Amino acid sequence: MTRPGPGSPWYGATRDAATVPPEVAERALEWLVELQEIDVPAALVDEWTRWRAAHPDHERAWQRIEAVRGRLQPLASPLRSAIAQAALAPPRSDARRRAIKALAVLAFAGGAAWSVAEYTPWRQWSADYRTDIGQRREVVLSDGTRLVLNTDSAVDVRFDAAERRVRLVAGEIFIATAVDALPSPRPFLVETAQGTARALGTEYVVRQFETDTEVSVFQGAVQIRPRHATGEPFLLRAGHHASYTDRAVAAPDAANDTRVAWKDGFIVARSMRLDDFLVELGRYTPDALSCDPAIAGLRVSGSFPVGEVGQVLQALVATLDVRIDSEQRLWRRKLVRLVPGPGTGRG
Amino acid sequence: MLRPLDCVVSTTVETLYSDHHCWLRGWLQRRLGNAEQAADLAHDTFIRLLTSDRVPLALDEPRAFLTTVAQRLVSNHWRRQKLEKAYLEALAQIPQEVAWSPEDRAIVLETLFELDRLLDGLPTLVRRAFLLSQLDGYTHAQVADALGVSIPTVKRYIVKALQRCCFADVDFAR
Repeated sequence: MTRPGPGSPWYGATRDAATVPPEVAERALEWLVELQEIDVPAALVDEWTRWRAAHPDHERAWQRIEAVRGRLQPLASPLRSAIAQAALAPPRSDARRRAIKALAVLAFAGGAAWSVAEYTPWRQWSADYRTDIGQRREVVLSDGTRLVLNTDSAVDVRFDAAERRVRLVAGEIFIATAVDALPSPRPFLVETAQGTARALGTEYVVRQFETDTEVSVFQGAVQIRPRHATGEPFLLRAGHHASYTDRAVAAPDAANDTRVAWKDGFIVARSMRLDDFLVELGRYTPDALSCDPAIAGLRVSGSFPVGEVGQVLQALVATLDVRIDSEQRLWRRKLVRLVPGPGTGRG
Repeated sequence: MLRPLDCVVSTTVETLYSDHHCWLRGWLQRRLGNAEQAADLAHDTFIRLLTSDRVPLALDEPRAFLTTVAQRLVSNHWRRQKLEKAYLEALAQIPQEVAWSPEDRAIVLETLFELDRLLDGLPTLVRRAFLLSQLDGYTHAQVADALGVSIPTVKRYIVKALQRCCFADVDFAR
């Protein structure tokens, strides 16, 4: 018989899972494996949600799994995984040789392997630097360039002899470029699905949307080259903001500092529509935020801390004559809907 | 507040410490060839005893008991050293441009130490299935392809490794 071990420092806040019956622990793990299939049917997700709610032990077991998965995050990308596999494999084993080979491929043939990769959710998970929902992270690259990743963002970094390229796989980044120390300075590019934005001595923000990219320039200038556009690149100067598709750049407008307020943990709204505001706020929480169309046009102004989404919603309730209608749990998300408040007449 | 039993236990560890600490340090130094590491591990041995609830109240062979505990720490020490060496070798393969901060490197190493401990003794295929699926994000079918086993087997392997990682304190043999 195998005695249970002493646990793990990873269990910290989920110590109480030690008391769950082994069959519950095993069922929870089977759930995880089932949910990691591709194309999980919605009915299965519902069933899993009901299973979690059916007994406190089920939820305890699940929380433990989530905690451990969080601990494995530092190893979760093709590069990091290859390093982990090389380190964990027995010396002089086939597995070690294979992992070192995989590393060499990732490191040196990286460019090619990297450019054929698709934009899929798991790509985001595998980026060189990533942030979770609600997280911000600052990274200094080897050339001294400073990147700040906003919530739920991911980048791959590839520098070679000819260029410094950061691929924004998802989300939003602020970039303060450094002067390249090499004798012939390499260009610094941010690549998105729609094209590249090249820095010319710059502080700028790039954000990837579903079908376009937005750039705001605060210092210097940025050259935008849509992926499928021909002709000269578009020059966007400091103080300007523009969006572009893979074919064209839209007419620029003014870029004000509110667009980088997230760097300090705020959304700054200036008479912003409530529905637009909820889209912005929704980036910082796993919950799904929405509002009744009747109140979508209400105006929101002020500075709102992105780390306190619940408090921000309460502030809206307090100032806008709206109320929070429903909080329903689905998959990992809570559905939060704002509806007209008691002071609003019906009909 | 200490219960009476705790007092007895800590008295035993105290006696062990005053009678055998120097001897244990010498024993460890002969094994490790390094005075500083020997002092550290001797210290760790007594910490281990102080925080353990399995110290016998009466010991016929105190030094045999101490060396059993210390030997486990020594093996663990060598295991970590080997892993760290392999890790540094792997890191040397990646380009400078993917700049990892010292904290990042340390976090990855600590994660590897713990993962290695939790997965210890599992068959190679079980470990590989787990790593490919949970770290690389391979689908079950891709893992099955890579390892040359069926998809149900892949799932069984992953669950087995996850039991070790997620529920090392749960007794599955019960």
